[in-house]
Amino acid sequence: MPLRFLAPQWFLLLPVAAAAAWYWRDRGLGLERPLRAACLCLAVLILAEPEVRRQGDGLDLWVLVDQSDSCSETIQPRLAEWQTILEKSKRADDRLFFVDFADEAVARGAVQRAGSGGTDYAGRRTATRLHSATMFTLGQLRPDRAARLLAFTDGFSTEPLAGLAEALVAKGVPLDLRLPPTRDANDYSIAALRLPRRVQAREGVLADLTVRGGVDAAVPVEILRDGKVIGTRSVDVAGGSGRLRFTDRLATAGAHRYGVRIIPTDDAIAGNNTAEYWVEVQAGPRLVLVTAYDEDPLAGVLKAQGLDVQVVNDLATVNVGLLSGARAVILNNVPAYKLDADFVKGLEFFVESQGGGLAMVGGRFSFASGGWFGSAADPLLPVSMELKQEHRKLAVAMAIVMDRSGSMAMTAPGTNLTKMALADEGAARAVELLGVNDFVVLIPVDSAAHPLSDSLVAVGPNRASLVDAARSVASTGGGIFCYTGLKAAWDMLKPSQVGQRHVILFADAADAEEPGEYKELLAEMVREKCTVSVIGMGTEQDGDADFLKDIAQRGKGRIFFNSDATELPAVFEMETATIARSAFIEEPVAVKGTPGWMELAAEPLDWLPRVDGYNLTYLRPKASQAAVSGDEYAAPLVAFWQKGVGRVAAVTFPLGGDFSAMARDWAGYGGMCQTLGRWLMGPAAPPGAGLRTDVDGSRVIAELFSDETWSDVFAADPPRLTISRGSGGKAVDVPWERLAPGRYAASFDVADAAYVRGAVRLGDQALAVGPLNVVTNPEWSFDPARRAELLAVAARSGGVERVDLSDVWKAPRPAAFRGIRRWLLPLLVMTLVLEAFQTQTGWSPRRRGRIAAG
Amino acid sequence: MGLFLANPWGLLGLLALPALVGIHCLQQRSRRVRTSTLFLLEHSQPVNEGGLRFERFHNSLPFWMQLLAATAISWLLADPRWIRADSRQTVAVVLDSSASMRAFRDRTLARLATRLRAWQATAARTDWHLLETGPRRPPLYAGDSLPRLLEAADRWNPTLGTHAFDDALGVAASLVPAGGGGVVLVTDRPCDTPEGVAVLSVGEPFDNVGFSGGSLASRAGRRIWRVLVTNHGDSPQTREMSLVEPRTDGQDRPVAAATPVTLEPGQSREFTGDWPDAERLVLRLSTDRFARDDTLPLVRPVPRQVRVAVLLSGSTGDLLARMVAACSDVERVPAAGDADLVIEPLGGTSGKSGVQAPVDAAAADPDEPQTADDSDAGKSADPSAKAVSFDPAWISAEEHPLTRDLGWGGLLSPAAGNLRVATADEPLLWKGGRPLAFVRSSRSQDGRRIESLVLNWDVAASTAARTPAMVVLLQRFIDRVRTGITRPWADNVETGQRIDLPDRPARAPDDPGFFTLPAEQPLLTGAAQFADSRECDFRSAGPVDSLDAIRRGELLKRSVRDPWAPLWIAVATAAMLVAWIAAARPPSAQARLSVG
Repeated sequence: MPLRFLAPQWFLLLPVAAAAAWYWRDRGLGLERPLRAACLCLAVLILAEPEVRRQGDGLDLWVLVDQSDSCSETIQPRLAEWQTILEKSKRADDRLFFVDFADEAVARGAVQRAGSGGTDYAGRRTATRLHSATMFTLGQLRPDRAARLLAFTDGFSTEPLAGLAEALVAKGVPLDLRLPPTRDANDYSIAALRLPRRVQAREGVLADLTVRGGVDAAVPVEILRDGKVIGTRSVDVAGGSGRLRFTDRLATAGAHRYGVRIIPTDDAIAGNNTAEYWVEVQAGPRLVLVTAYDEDPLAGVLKAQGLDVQVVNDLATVNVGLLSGARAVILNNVPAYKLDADFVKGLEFFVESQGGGLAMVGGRFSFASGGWFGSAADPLLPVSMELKQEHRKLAVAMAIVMDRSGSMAMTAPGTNLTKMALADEGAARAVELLGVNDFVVLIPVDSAAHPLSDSLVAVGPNRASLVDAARSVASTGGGIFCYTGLKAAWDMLKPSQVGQRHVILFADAADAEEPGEYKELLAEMVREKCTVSVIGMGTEQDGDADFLKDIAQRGKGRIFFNSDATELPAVFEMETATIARSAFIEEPVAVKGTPGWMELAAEPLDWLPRVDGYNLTYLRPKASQAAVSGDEYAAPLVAFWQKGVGRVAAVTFPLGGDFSAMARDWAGYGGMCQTLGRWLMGPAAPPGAGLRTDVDGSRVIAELFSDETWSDVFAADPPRLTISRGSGGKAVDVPWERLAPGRYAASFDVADAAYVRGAVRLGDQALAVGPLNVVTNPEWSFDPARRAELLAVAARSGGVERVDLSDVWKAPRPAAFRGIRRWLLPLLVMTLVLEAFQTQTGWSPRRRGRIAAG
Repeated sequence: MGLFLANPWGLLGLLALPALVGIHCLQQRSRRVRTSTLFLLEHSQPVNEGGLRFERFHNSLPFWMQLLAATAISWLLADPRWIRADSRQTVAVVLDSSASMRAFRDRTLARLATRLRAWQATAARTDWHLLETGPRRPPLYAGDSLPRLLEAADRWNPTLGTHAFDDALGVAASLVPAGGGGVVLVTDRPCDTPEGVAVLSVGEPFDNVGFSGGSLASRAGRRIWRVLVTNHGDSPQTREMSLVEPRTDGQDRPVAAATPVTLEPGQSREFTGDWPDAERLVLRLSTDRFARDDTLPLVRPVPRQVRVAVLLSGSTGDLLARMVAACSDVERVPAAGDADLVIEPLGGTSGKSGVQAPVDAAAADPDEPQTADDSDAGKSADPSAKAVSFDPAWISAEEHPLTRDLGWGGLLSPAAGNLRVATADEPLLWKGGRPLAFVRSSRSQDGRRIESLVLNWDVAASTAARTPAMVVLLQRFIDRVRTGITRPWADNVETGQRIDLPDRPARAPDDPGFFTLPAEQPLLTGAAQFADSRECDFRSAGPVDSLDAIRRGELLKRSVRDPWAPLWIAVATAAMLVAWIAAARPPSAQARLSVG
C-alpha cells in the first residue's frame, strides 16, 4: 500500500457531511460547492493522518565483516556460525548482504581477483578502515528499503570515526555491533622502541627495544634500516618482557627509517611484531641533487662553490626522508614516475611550509615529458607544462584499455569510492587532455574486450560524450585478459594514419591474466611506431607486476605502479600529458636574457647564444623569467618564483647529458648554476631559534625556543606551527602555547598518520622537522579508546551491541512511512481563503466566463 | 511539559488573516431588481453585475469564523510539539580560557545565560557541565541546576595565552551521551570545531594597543628597561605611556611624565629608558577595551646563581672549571661548603651535587681496552693533552634530557673508565659497551638528594675542550642543580609560567603583577607579564551562534507531537461550517430594503 491512514475513523464524517449537504440543500449551506466540499474533504483527510510509503516492509541487513589481520583469530573462526544464525532467523521479506572490509571494502559476491572465490576477500588486510567501509555501504542502500548495518569487528578501527554517527543518523540507519571476546592467547609484541630523534653523521645511534610476551622465550629480532635488513639479534623475554639494545651509525644526511621485526615461533597476533622509528641525521645546509646522470656536471660546479651537495643517482633510494634537513632539491631530468610517490607529494610541504628550494632542470625526461604534469610538484613550478593546442604539431591516436574486472569493484583504501570509479575518472581526464584533432577509443576489458565504440573516435566533436562514456564503465567481475585488450587496441589503432599512436593499459598488478602472444603483438606494434604504457594497480611486489613491466618495456612506454587508487586520475593525466601535451624541442634555439635575472643575482649574466634543445613550457602568472627562447614560442628557459616560504626555479634546457653540449661549453654555466643554487637554498637558518620535538605515545610534543632577537618579530608576527600528516597531507596549523619568554610548546596526535612533518614559520623563514612517527602500527595497538568510540557511534545511530544475532531482525525498523499533513495544511488554508473570496464576491470562473461571453 | 514549534515557518499561514480582511472589504456590484411587494424580494438572489468594489469593512460572523479557522490551521502547520516529561539531556559548556575573552566576558555571560535557558527548555531535565579549555583548569560545575552553572560561570577568569581546544572538547564530548545533549564552545571568534559542537561567540573586531613584552638590559654600562608596544589594529592609534614605581604603601611614585605614543596599523615599537633607583617599575598605557596588555610590571632581576667549587686538580680540573665558567649564571667559590655544585674527583665526598671526573689518565685506564677497528682512531690533537691513544669505539648517546639533540661525533677520547652503572644511575653516553657519562643519585646525611654527573674518562686527554656538546651537557646539568638552590632570586616571567622551586614546581599568577613564591617563605620575587600578542589581536574576532542547529536536532528527539491536533482541525472545520451557515442566512428586513 503506498498510502495508509493512522486514524481512518474520521472518514465517517464524510457521509455525515454528505447527508448534511443534502438535508440542508435548500437553506443555502452550499456544501455541494466545490471549494466548500474540498475544505471539508481536506479537513477529514488531515484528521485521518495519511502517510505515504517510503520504504518496504522488509529489512535489508548489511553485514560489515572485518577481514583485517587483527581479526584473523577472533572473527574468522566464528564467521560461518554467525552467518548461519543470521540466514536462519531472517524473515521472508528480509534480505542479507555482506561487505568485506579491511584496507578496502567490497560487496561480497563479486569475483575480485583470479584465484579467489566469490566469498573470499582478496584485498589488503593491513588496516581496519571501518569508516570508509560504512560510508561505502551507505552508498549501496536502496532508498525504498529499510536498512540496518551490523559490523563483525574487533572494534579497533585504524581510521577515525569522526562524522560517521552523523552520516548514519542522517540516513536513518542504525549500526549494530558484534564484538568478539577479548584475547587470551600468548602474544609477543613490541612494547617500545626508542632511539634518538636526531644524531650527527657517523655518530652512534643507540636503540632500545622492549618486547612483551606471556611465555619466557628467546625471540629472534630483525633490524632494518630504510627497509633493508641490517642485522638479526635475539631478545630474551623473561617475566613478561625482554629488552634489546643495539647501536648503529648513519653516514648520510637526511632522515632514516629504522625498523625492528620480532619473529616469535608461537604468537597469537602477528601484526604487533613490527615497529618503526625515524632518525634524522643532522648536517649543515645541503642541497640534494636527484639526477639521471652518473657524472652530473651540475654536481661539480655546485660543489666547487662550496655547497654541500648530496647527489642521488639511484632513484629507487629516493624517499621522503631525503627532504629532512635539506635546503633545496634539484631534479635534473628525472621522470616523476620513477620517484617514490611520497617524495613527490612531500615536495609541496617541503617548499611551501618548510621553506625549501626546488628546481627542475630540462631534458627528455623532465617537465611534461617526464610525467610531471598533474603531479604534486606541478603547481609548485613557475611554468605550466601542458602544450597549448595551437603549438601541437602531431595528432595522437590513443587507446585506453581499462581493467573492469572484479577487483575494480573494491573501494580504494581510505575512501568510499570504488577503484573502477577512480579509473573511470582517470580515463575521463585523459580524454579531456587530448586535443581536438586527436582520436581515442576506450576499451573496457575483463575476459573479453568491450570497446565503447567500433573504431577510433575524433575527440573534437565528441569530447563530452567520450567523457561521459568513460565515467560510466562499471566493474563486472572476472580477471583482466591483457592480450585480448592489447589486441583489440591495436586492431583499432592500426588503420589510423595519425602521427603518434599510443596505448594505455590499465590493469590490476595482482590479476593481469592471459599473456597470449603479447610479445609478438608488441613487437609488431613497436615496428609500426605504436607505444604502450602500463598503469598497474598495486605494487611492484604483486604477482603479475613483472608481466606488466615487460609489456611496458617491450611497448617502449612507461610503467606506473600505484597502490593508492585515489591517485589513479592523476596518473592517467600524467601519462596522457606525456604523450599528447608535452614537447621537448630538439633543435638549437637562441637564448634571450631578460632583466628578471637581476632578481636572482647581483650582476648581469652574459647568456649563451643558443641551447641544443628545451622543454616547451609557459610562464605562470606572477612568476619571473631570466631567459626566454628566441623562437616563435618565446618560452621560458629560466623561470623562478617564491612559493609559500620556499623558492622554486625551472631551467627548461638540459644542463647535462644529451642536448647540453652548448650549455656545458658556455663560460657562464658554473656561474648560473651556482647563483641558482645559492638562491634556492635561501638565507641561512634563522639564528637564535630552535625547535625540539619528541614523540610521547601517539602525541608529538614540539617546543620552540628563541632568544630575545626574536621578540620584536614574534610580537608582530607570532610563530606558526604547521604540520602535514602522512603522504601528501595538507598543511594544517597547530596552535602554540606560550610557556615562557622565548618558549612555545604545542602537541598533536599522530596516531592516524604513517608519519608527520612539521614546519615553524618565523617571519619569512622556517624551521623544518620530521618525519616523525608513532612507533607501532595502530592496527595492532588495540587502543580501548577506539573501541569506545565505535560503541558511541553505534549508540548514537540507534544501534546496540548484539550478543544474540537473531535479535537483529526483531529490532525496531526504521519508519517506512512519512506523514503528509505538512503538505495538506497549506492546501487547506488556501482553499479556505479562496472559498471566502468566492462567498464574499460571488466570483466563479464559470460565471465569469458566461459574463464575458454575454 | 514545554511547548515549541518545530516548523515556525508554518506561521506564514497567518498571512491568510490579512487576505481575509481584504476579502471582506470587497463587495460585488448587484443588479437592481424592481418588485411590487417586499416578500418577492426574498426570492430574488443578489446577482453580480460583473465587478467588485472596495467598501468599508463589514463586520460579520463569517469573517470571524474564517479567521478562527485560518488561525487553527496555521497553528497546526507550525507543528507544535511537547517536550516529553521524562526527557533528559546533558549539555557540556566549554568556556574559552584565552585572555582575549576578557574583552567580551560580561556580554558573553549574558548571552550564554539567555541561550542556555532556551536550551534548558528543550528537556524536562538537563545535566550541566561547565569546563574551560585551559589545559590545567578544573571543571567549574557539574549538576542539574542552570542558575548554579551561571553562578559558576561568573568565576570564569580567562587569562591564558593561545592554546588548543581539542582536549577540552574531547572531554566535553565524552561527558555527553550519544544523542542526548550537546557541547557548546564559548569563544570570541569563528573557529573550526569537531562535528556536533556548537559555537557561541559575541566577539567583534576592534583596534587594540598593548605591551608585547618587556625586559631589562644593559647598555653602555647602564641598566635600562626595554618594552615593546604593538598596535594590533587597522588604523593608527595613539596612547599615553607612563612609568611609575609602585610602593608598598599603595602610592605609586611617577618616575617619568606620561608621553604620547602613536603607532601605525600593525606597527611594533621599542621604547627604552634608564632604570631608576628602584626595585620595581610599572609601565602603563592609557586604558582601552582590552586592559590586560596595558600594564607591564618589571622587577630588577637577581639571578639564581649556581656556586661552583673546583676541588679537582690538574688539567682536568682546569678544563672543567673553564667549561663551567662558560655557562650562564655561575659563580666560582673557593670552598665546597659554600658551593651548590662541586667539581671533584671520582668518588668525591663533598656531600654536594657535582661533576666527577678522574684526576688523571691513570684513573680512567680501562681493564680491557678495545681493539681499534675504525678509521676514527687516532691521536689527540689537543696540544695541551698528553699523547694518548684514542679509543676507536664510537660514542652512543642515550635518549635523555641531558644529551638530547647533542652531537658527540667530535669527542675523541681514551677508553671509558672501569666504573659500571648501577641500577639507579641514569646512563648518558656509552663507548664500547662501557658507560662514558652518567648521572648518579644519592642522599646526603641530612636527607637531601645529591646528583653527580660522572664523566668516566680522562677528560683532559680527550677532545672535550673542542666539543660543544660537552659545554651544553654541563649547562643542562647546572640548570638541574639550579632548581634545588634555596637562596632568593628575582625575575620577570610570563603569567602562568612554570617555575621550578627547590621542592616542587609552582606557577606564576595568571594575572599580570608582582608576586612572591612560595607564599610561606618567599624565594622568588617576580613580575608576571602578559605578552602573548596573539591574544591581543582582535581583528579576527566575530560573532557566531550555531546553537540552534544542534539544539533543534536534539529537541526533535525529545518531543512528541501535539496530541490536540485533531481538536484544532475540528475547531477549524466547525468554524468553517458556522461561517457558511451564517453566510447562508437571509439578510434582515432592513438589509433587504437597502439592497433594493
